[in-house]
Amino acid sequence: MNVSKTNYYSKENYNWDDIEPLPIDVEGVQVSQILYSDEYRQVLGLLRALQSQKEYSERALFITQEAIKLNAAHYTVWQYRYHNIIELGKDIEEELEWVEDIALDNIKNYQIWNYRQLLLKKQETPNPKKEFPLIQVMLDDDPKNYHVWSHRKWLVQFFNKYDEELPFVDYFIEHDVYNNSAWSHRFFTIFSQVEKSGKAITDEIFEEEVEYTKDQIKIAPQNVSSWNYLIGLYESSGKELSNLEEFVLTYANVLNEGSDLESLKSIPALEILIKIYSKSNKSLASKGYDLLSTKYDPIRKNYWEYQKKQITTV
Amino acid sequence: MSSASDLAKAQYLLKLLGKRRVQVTTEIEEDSSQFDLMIDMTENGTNFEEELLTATTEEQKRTEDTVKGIYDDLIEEGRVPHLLKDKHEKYLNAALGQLPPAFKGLDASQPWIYYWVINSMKLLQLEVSQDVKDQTARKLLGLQHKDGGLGGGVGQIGHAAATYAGTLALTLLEDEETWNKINRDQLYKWLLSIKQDDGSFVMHLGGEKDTRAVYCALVIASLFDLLTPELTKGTAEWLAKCQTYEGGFGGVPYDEAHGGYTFCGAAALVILGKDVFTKTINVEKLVKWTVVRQLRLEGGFSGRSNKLVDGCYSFWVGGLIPIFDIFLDHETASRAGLQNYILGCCQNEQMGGLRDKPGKYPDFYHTNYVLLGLTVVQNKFKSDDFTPYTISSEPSDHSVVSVEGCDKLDTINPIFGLPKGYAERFHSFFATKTK
Repeated sequence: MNVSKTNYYSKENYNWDDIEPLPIDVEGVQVSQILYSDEYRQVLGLLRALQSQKEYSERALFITQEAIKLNAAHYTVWQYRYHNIIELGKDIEEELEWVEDIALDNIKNYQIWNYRQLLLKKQETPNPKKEFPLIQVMLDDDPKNYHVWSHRKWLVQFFNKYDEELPFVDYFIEHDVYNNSAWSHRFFTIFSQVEKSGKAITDEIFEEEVEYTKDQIKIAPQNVSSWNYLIGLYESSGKELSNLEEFVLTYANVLNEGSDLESLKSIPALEILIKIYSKSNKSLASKGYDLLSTKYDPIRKNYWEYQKKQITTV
Repeated sequence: MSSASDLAKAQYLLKLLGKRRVQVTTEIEEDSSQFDLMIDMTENGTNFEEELLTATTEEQKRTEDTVKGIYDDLIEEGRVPHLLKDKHEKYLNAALGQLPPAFKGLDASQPWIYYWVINSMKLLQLEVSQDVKDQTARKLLGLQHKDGGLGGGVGQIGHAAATYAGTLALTLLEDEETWNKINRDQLYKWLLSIKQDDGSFVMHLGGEKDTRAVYCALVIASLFDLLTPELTKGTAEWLAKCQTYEGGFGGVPYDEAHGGYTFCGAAALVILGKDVFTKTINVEKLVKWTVVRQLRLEGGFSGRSNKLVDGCYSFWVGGLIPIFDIFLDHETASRAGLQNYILGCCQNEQMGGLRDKPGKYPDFYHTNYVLLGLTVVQNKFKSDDFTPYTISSEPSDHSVVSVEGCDKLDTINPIFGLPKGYAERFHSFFATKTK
C-alpha cells in the first residue's frame, strides 16, 4: 500500500481547503475503540465529510479509492463510490477493471461482487467475456470460495449463459472430486434451467447425470458430495431411489444373512439401501440403523436411533 | 462401549498406572464417559478411509492428525479438558480496552465487537462494569444513522447485520433509558426500505441480499416488536427456496448449503411463527445435513460438505440442535462429541480466547460462537408453543453428555444467541409499548 500522506491529503492533487474531516468515532468512548492510524482517520474523515454534503466529484472518487485500499470491507465507501461513478457518468468498463485489481488483492471480500453486480446492471450492453476469466483465476487460487461461486451463478443467470457451466464444473471436479461447491454448481446448472423451462428434466439429461455421478462415486465411494448430488437428482426428478439398489449393494452389501460386516465401502450407500428397505423390509432396515449407530458411524448414534424410530413407529 | 475401546482404555490406564496413579484415579472417575468417548473418537474416527488423495482429503487428514494428537495427549494424561475461565476472562477484559490499528478491518463491524465480547462475558457469568455498559450504550446510540438503522461505525449507513449485532448488544445492557433512545418508527421504515419484492431483505440500500440479511432483519423486527405482515410478506417462501438439495441453506436460491446461512434460514423461520418452520421446509433433510456436519474424529462441525471443522460452527450448525430439541423432541447430533472438540481443541491455553481449530489464533467472533456452542451442549431446550420467547431449557441429561460444574455456562435463548432472559425482557419492554 503506497499511500503517502502527501498523495491524498495535499493541494497538489485536489483542493481540500473547503472541507474539514468529520470524526469517525464517538467522543468519550474508549471501550473496544479501534485506535485508527492518522492516515485512516484522515481519509475516512474526509470521505465522511464529502458524503454528508452529498458531493459527487473527482476528489470524492479519489478519496473512496484511498479508503477502499485501506479497508475493502467498508460497505459505506463502496456505496458512496458507486454513486460517484453514476453521478459523474464514469465509464463503467473502466470501473470494472479497477475493481478487478482490488478483487485480486482481497479474495475473501464480498462487497466486491455486489459492487460488480451493481455496475453490470447499469451497463447498456454488459459484456460477459470479461467476467468469467476473473472467476477462473480466483477459483484456481481458492476452489471453494463461496462468494466467487455465488457470483458466477448470478452471472450465468444475468447473461442467461449456461453453455460453459458443465465443462467448468468438470474441471474442478476432476481436480478434486470432493469439491462440494463444484457439485452444487452442477446442480444449479441443471436444475435452474429445468425450473426456467417450466418442464421436468428430460430422461436423457437425467441418465447422463446419473452415469456421470456414479463414475465419480466409483473413484471415491465415501464422498458425501457426489452421493448428495445423486440423491438430489433422484428427488428433484421425482424418480424412485429403489432404482439404485443394485448400485448401492456394490458398496454396502452388509445387511443380508451371512454378509461380511467388514466389507462396507460407503456409509452413504448403506443409508440409501436402508431407505429402500424401509419400504420393503423393515427388519433389515432396522438392522442397518443398528449397525450405523453401533459400528459404522457411532458419532451419529442419536440420529440413527431417531431414524430407526421413524420407520418402526409409522 | 465397544470392547475394542474398553481394551484401549485399559491399555492406556495400565500404561499410566506407573507414572500418574493419583491423577488417573481422581480425574477419570470424575468424567469417565467423556474420556471414553475421546478414546472412541480417536480410534474409529477417520472421516476418509483409504480414499483418494486430493486437496480436500489432504487437508482433512492433516486436521485429523492434529486433533488426534491433542486427544491422544489428553488420554495419556488420563484427563478430560476443562474450560479455562480465568484465561478467557483476561482475554475478554483486554478486548474492552482500546484496540490496535490492525483492527481497522472491523471498522465497519463495530457493533459486532460489543455483542461478541459482552455476550461472551455474560455466558461466562462475568461482571460487566457500569462504565463499560455506559460507554457501550453511548457508542451504539452514536451509530444510529439519520436514515435509519445502525451503521458499522460512526457516519456509516444503516446495515442489517450491524443493527442486528447492535440490538443484541443493547439487550445485554438492560437499560430502558438507552432502549428508549432508539428511533423505533424510523427503524421500521428503514426495515421496509431494505425489504425486497421477492420477500427477502438486503443488508443495506444497494447491498447484497441473502439469508443472513433476512435473519438479521427479522431478529431486529421481532425484538422491537415490529414484526408485521407487511414486513414479512413472502419471506418464508423465499427462505424455503434457499434450502438446497443437500438439506442446509445457501445464501440465495441455488447457492451451496452453508452453516452460517443454514442457522439464519432455520432460526428466521422459527421467528416467523409456530408452524412456519415445519410447514415450509423439508425438516428431515435439514436434520440429516446438520448431523453429517459433525466430524467423526474431531467431534466439532464443518460448515459445508467436505470442508474442515471450525469452532464457530459449534453454534452456526450446533445451534440447530436446540431447534431440533424443540421440534423433534429427540437427540440428534452428539453433544458429547462437540464438547470434546470445544474443550479439547478450541481454547488457547496461553492467552485465553477461543478459536477455529488448533493452530489458529483466537478472536472475539470465535470466542462468542464457541461458547454459545458449549452452552448448547450443556442444555436441552423445549418450547410449549414453539415460539422464540417461550423457549426454556434444563441441563442436559448425564446419559447425553457429562458436564462438570466448573465448565458450566449460562443457558441461552438459542434463536437469538443470547443468554436466557435478555431477548425476552427487551421484547416485552417494546411489546408493552405497542399495546
